[in-house]
Amino acid sequence: MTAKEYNICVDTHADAVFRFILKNIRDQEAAKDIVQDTFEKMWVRHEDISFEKSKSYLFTAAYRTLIDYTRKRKYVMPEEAAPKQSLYHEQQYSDVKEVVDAALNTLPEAQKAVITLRDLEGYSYEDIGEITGLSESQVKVYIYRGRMAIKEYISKLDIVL
Amino acid sequence: MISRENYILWFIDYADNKLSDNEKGVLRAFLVQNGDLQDEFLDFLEASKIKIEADPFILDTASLHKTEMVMPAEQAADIRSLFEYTEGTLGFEETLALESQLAQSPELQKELRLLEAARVRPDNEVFPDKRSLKKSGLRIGFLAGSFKYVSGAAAAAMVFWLGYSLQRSNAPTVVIQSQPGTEWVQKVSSLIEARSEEKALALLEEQWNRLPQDMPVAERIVYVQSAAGPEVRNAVSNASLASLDEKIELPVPELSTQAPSLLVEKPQMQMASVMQNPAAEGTRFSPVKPLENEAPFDLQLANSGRKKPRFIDVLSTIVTLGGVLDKKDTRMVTDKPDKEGKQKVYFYSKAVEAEFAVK
Repeated sequence: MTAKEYNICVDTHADAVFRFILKNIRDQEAAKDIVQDTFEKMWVRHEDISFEKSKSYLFTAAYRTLIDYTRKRKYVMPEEAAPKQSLYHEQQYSDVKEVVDAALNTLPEAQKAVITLRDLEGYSYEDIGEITGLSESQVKVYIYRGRMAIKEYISKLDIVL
Repeated sequence: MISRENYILWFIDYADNKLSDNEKGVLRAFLVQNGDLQDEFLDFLEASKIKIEADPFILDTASLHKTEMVMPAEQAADIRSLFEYTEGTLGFEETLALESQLAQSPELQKELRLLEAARVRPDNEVFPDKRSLKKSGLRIGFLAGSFKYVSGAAAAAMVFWLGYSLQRSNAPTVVIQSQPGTEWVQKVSSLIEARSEEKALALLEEQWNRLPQDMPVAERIVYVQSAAGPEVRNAVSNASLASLDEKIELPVPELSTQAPSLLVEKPQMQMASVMQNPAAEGTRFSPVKPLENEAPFDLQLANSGRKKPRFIDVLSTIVTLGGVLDKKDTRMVTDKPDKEGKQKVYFYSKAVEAEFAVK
């Protein structure tokens, strides 16, 4: 990939990678840092990466950086100190999107990541498996369980659909 | 109907104790017919922390830890189908059957609506500073990434170029004095040793990328050096501008032609050039004539204090020889440490062109 192609990647994919990360960690500054790191990694290797596979590379690198980040954050912020994510809470939501985001935030990291890759980017199970290093079956299991949990969350809040 | 496409959902429902006795029989028959999936099934149960006390193919409900029936088995089957339906993985026949069922079941319709609503929607946020991610294509890699592109000698050339450019533009003259060799090599080595601080490098590039692309390179170097924080400024200074009181004897055009002996710390240090199919290396590389002997050199890693030299330790010295080096182009063999803890490092590489020009 040339420098020019790399810059096209920035224009084309930076927002998507940013949204993917942001959905998973809900921290603007950290998401920005992760995106910066991700693109820096790609730049270092840009001559070895084909332009066609740049998006896949970006999401793979972003996912790994995300995992590193969440692990470090767990270390820094032990579970008891972390904000509780309850299935039942009294927050008022203005629309379904907010509810789904809240539900998403209750999921384990892996489920959250595969669901966002599926829903935001439309990746196939196979693609998600390549990005996350999970088997296709595991991806399907995570998506199924995650989807059911979100559905359960929505129904518990008695939202009229 | 269970198939090789949806069996994993049956595994999940089995683990969650959502299968009816009849469905367990279907699953059992399926596993018998698809023996290659039996191990996956067992792995899945293990991962789900389900003890199999009996033959797993008996699928005895009593052997499961989870005994709570979350929902009737029929409903679980419907949810499974709805999930496949919303994921677009349900077969044609099953889709027709489900749609027919949906038309008659408000409960199922509600479940479908919930499932469809359980999709994550994109936000409107955009990455706030794409410009900071972009690259100019100018190699300032002596401070960046994998040291792959610009060697210390290229940095030297930049200094030379800077002085030359400033002189030509009637800017304050920068005198490049004559004192080649060791000290400069050591400075570059120190810089590279210290440059594990990637944030400093990223900051440097960020500063660099913020400058107008039509700004003369020499001015950009000066700007970055002055605009960056002390961390970066020191790095830049060490690498280049602080060396202005030293002579850099390498005219730019000659940079790519030889491993410059004047930068070699000891006379016996010579980079061995191993030529292998240079045409395959791409235009960036400019192979030089192989040296007659592949002479090992003593790296004397005393300053690193490491018994086992890392590649970076070797590179930090070698990079000053003017070659653009990469692991794949190099071969390093180390001896065992001697009594003083020093090792001999046999380093073989192609000498390649140092790239520093603006693309």
